[in-house]
Amino acid sequence: MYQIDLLSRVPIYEQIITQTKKLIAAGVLKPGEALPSVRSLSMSLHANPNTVARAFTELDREGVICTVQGKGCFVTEAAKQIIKKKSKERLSDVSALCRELIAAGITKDEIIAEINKINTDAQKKGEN
Amino acid sequence: MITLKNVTKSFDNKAVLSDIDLEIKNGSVYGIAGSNGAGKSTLLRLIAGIYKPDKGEITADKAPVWENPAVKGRIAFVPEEPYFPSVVSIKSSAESYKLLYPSFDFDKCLTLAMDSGLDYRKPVSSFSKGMKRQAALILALSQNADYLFFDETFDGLDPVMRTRFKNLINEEVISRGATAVVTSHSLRELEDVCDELVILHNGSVVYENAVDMIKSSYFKVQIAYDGPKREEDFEGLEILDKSKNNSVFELIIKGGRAEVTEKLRATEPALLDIMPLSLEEFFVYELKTQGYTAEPVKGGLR
Repeated sequence: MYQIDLLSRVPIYEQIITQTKKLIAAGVLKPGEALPSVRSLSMSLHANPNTVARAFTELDREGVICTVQGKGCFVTEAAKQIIKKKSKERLSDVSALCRELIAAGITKDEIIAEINKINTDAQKKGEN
Repeated sequence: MITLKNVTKSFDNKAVLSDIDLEIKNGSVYGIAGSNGAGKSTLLRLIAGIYKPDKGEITADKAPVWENPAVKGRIAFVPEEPYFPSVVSIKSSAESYKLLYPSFDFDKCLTLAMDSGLDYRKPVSSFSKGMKRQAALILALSQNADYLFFDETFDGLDPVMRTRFKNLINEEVISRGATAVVTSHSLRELEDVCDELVILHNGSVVYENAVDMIKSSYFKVQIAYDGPKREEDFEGLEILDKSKNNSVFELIIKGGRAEVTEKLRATEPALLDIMPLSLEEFFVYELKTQGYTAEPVKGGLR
């Protein structure tokens, strides 16, 4: 389920956080559903258990998951909303990329056409 | 918790470690990295109670380590080059370990040996270098020790064995709350194993923190502008290193990613690339500030 690059420049705990959010946003992990345990995730990713636990603590702090003592971690009802809110902050990444593309000579229309394409893809997925 | 206070160790009047203060939390996998001759092995042997510090104190859960059998019984140590007498097998080693360490698990030892494809009846001295190291690792893990010390043990294991032992150590940490300390001169050997890290240089601590902290608070930045750019534009950023190639600035910046990105974007660059510093780059950079570089010494030796 998770795919982590242990030697990436991106910290492992950040990769676990990002991927958990992606899995929730995509509906793979649903509200109320349990996340893999620290033990099983640490074993399957060959990652340090303290690093995995740190990622879960951060997700808990953000309200995306909640930890039930002795039972494990579960996706919260509000998870999708929180992820959506956080994703809005990343819109500035899009403008940075667009500026780069425009500097390289790609027109605004071409970029908009590309965005429209993504939109229909997402809608199609939603209908199915 | 292992605590070192003002620890100093010299050999032949040459200080190998000076005034080391460290705390190693229980349940962590702690890495000791450093340049050649930085004092990594000496530090590990001090913590294991093999060497006596000249000055300062070393405690494990508040009990002194030196000449304290109660603490030493909870320590497993794998040296850089494990030694096995010529006729000793894993099984006969296990029998003598059982006499020395009450917590030693004989069955676990034989199972681990079989799982690793090692014949526990054969003399370990007939094994290859890598297999000898595996044998030493298996014996150490079977000790069910609270503290596991590995001196350059991961260096030179093949990827399959490396992953296997990494998981076995993680298992000890998860199931028993064991603490592992691993030394290596290569940060690549440590970065996916450890959660905390200390970097030594010339017998002193250069840096100590969580591994993930390094990657999330140091960035390598490439930035260029259309027009001329003044130095003041980087104000408010903690710039640790700066060089300029043609019109491209290369910066090493300390700070949170979001904050660094926002501040740099505000300067309206024509080109901006922000990458987390890899552990190896961090190591090279930190030691550069200590005057240890890959560049030849200026003027050279005459």
